[in-house]
Amino acid sequence: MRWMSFFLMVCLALYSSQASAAWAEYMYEDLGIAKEFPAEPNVESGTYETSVAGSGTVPSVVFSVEQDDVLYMMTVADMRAPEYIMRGANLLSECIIRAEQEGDIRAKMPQRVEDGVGYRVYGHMTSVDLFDNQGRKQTNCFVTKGRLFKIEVIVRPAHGQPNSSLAIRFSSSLRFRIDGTSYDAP
Amino acid sequence: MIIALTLLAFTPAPALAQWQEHVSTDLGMAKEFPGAPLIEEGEYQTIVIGDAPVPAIFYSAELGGVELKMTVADMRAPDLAVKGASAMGECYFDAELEGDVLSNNAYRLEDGTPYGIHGRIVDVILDADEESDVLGFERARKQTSCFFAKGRLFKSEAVIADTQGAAGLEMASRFVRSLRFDVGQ
Repeated sequence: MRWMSFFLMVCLALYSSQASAAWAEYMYEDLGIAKEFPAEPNVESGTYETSVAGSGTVPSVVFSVEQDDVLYMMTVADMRAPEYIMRGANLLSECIIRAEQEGDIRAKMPQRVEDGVGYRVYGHMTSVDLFDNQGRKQTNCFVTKGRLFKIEVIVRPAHGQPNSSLAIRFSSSLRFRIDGTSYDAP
Repeated sequence: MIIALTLLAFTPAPALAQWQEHVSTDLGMAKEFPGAPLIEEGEYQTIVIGDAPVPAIFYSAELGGVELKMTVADMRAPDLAVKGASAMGECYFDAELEGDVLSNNAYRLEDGTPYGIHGRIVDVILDADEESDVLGFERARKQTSCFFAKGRLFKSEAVIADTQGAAGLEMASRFVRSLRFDVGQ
């Protein structure tokens, strides 16, 4: 029985180690972001639906990975057109409101990350229990470099751990300073 | 007793103050104040804005234990406009840091477009070290709204003395929400 326990612990350790090792930071220099994913993400181009853009369409790229009943997703919407630049704050707020409306809010808080030009990028984290028992979702919204970065992670009920540390890792692992230098914010 | 009650009834309560909408076509906004605000020009600087402060206009009023202030920071320069989202995020991030957060909610204002202007309103009980600077209140409460529109950051702040109760809260709530952008350009 003890050997069986030992064998299971070794298997678990190896499994955890492999799962952890699979995480990697992917560099998207054209988008100005480095982001961790648990595996190489699928990449799809499309359009981002937003009322802030009015009747215009906003090109977007969606990066996603589904693993162990957790969906990891990052949407990057291109708002570099001059008519959209002034609406960056509006776009950020819309992103936050939409996240808040997806379920029962469990947590919400401002966030900030360092960027590459000597000031901070401020965003927002929202955590909800999705309606109709669809799982727990965390959404992080940032607008910088003329783009909306929407980081979403859905931990489905089948995963068994709504507060999965993987979700937290995914939502917090991004940086906008990708030129290899460091910056100490005042 | 009757005289005292009569005097009390005729004492102008903060919530019953004469609110007026202050319209600025230059800034493209209209904002309510309980009377004519004091208007001053100055500068606004934060980490997001960077080393060079930007021109700002400060509107202020004080009535019955409620201190009201609106800051309009000019971020129309292209290098600043692109930071509009971060400036707004910084605005309400800083507001949360001022005390114990009671709420942080989304709020939408009209600007004449179908999508409107989306911002946030933060409500806190101020920390002790903040209170000493605020009208000498023992336990002050503060509401802050942050919006970014027309290349400008609009930050409205209302500090309420602990003695003002519902009337003070009503005034603060009205102040931080009473803004519209369907004016001018």
